[in-house]
Amino acid sequence: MTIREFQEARKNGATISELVTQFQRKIEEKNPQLNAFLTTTFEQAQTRAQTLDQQSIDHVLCGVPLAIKDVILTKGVRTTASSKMLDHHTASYDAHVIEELNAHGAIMMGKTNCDEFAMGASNENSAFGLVRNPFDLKRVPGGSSGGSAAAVAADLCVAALGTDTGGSIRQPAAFCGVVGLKPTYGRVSRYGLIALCSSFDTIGPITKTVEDAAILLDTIAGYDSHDMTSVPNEVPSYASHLQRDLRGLKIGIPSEYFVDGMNLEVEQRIRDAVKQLERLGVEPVEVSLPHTKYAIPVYYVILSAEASSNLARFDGIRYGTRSTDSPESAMDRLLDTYLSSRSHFGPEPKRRMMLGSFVLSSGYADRYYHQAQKVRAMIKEEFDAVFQNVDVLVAPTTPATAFKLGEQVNDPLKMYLEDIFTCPVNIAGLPAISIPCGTASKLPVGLQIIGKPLDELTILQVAYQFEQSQKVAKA
Amino acid sequence: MTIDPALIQKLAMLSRIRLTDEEITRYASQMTRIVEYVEQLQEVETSHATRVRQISGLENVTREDSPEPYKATEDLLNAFPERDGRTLSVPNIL
Repeated sequence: MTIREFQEARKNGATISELVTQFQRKIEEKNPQLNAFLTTTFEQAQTRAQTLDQQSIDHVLCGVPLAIKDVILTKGVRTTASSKMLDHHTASYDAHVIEELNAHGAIMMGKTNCDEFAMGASNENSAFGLVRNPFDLKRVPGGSSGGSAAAVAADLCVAALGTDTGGSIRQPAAFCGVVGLKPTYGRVSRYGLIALCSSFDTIGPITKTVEDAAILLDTIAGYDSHDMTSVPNEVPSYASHLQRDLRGLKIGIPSEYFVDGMNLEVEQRIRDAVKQLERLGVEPVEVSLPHTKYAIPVYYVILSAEASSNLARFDGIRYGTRSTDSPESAMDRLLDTYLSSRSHFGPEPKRRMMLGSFVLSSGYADRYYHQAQKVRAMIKEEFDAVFQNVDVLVAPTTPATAFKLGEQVNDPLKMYLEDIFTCPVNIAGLPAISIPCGTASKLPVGLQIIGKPLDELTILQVAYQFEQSQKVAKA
Repeated sequence: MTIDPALIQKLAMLSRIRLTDEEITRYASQMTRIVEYVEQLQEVETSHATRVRQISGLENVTREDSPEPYKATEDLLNAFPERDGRTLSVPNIL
């Protein structure tokens, strides 16, 4: 059920309460198998539904059941970042995006599972169990927003919020056959988002249709004084401007995004999609982004540095899990509290914090961290140069389809390479959307459309026209 | 560049993490591979490049320095692991 279909159902006589109950039943039935939700908020959802049935809010999101990734703070509701470090933590305030959604009448069904502290590409790093891909229960949903993507794909909610630091909205959206939008860095406030990498993190929608992504973006985007990286630019009205004649639009096809070793069926689906866009009038242009191959090392050096700093706040003192191993000497008690409390982190956060300490340490900072920041500038400049001549870039979201659970979990480096086509976008702070473009061996394939800074409208328009033309093709 | 167990122990202490011997060995080999992989950044000629600290292009974001009452103090305090009435319990350091 999409947002539009939800409101149609209401017009046809269903109450919000009845519709919320339907989604609740589905979650109760399917979540034990999928493990998409860590925490459900059915009581609060029903109370809100009843209030809205009495006194509706005049907005297309009124009553719409959503799922929220568990790295976003929701006041009074357990918020864990999928970590034992926050197992018993209740959020003290609402994130900005949650305030906006609440004000427009959206209803939260629960908090979704993800990789621990958003670190991962398969949702296998969660301290509370893995998530299964609704298309094939033996496969990963992708990560880190695996729970949100699986919940949307299995229709356990109308739509969801995820976060994208290196591809964590787009990659699971691609693996689960749904739409995932990463906004421009600064377009959506990060106030109330548990920080992973502060210069890459974004919050965005995971939905069934492009229109639903546009509606959610309309609601959550915009300046917030609580986030000093929030851009003051006006938010266009995305959902009401999706129609566009694409004739004359130039789409760049970056050659570095078609690599040896990528799944050939996936590549073919992307080439087919480009042909489809050509039939809609676009002009494909071969472009080159030579420093693409350095994107993953840049990404992991900067990410681990910033993550090691961001995760330092989890020290067992003010919030989160506090434990001690009771040392004899009182002098050791503080250190012991840190070491004991922080042993509640899983392996991936530990690895990244240590890597971060390493690349920032005296003697190595210049070689790794400063060098990565400089290469970051070059990657950004390369995108800027290419965007002088094209309106959007079109590429695969991932090199292959959803892999099997357990296949890569013991090889951290191999898992990092999953981000190969998505992380350059976070490095440059650009907006990008992944939309379904067919299947490869029955598994979903995602088409990625990358835009200029703050040009979510164009990528949504291209995505929308493509999506609508696919429907016509099927009929 | 090899990340040996001694370096892992040092990094673990910097990160305030306690590791078992098995973890030290395992992370040493995993992190050696990762550091070897990121070593390719040295190939890039960057003498002309400036470090990106922040990608949105915003500079000098300021606000009025005027205090406002914070309405949810109690909610923040409720997250504290140990309390004794109005006081917050922390590990002693003296």
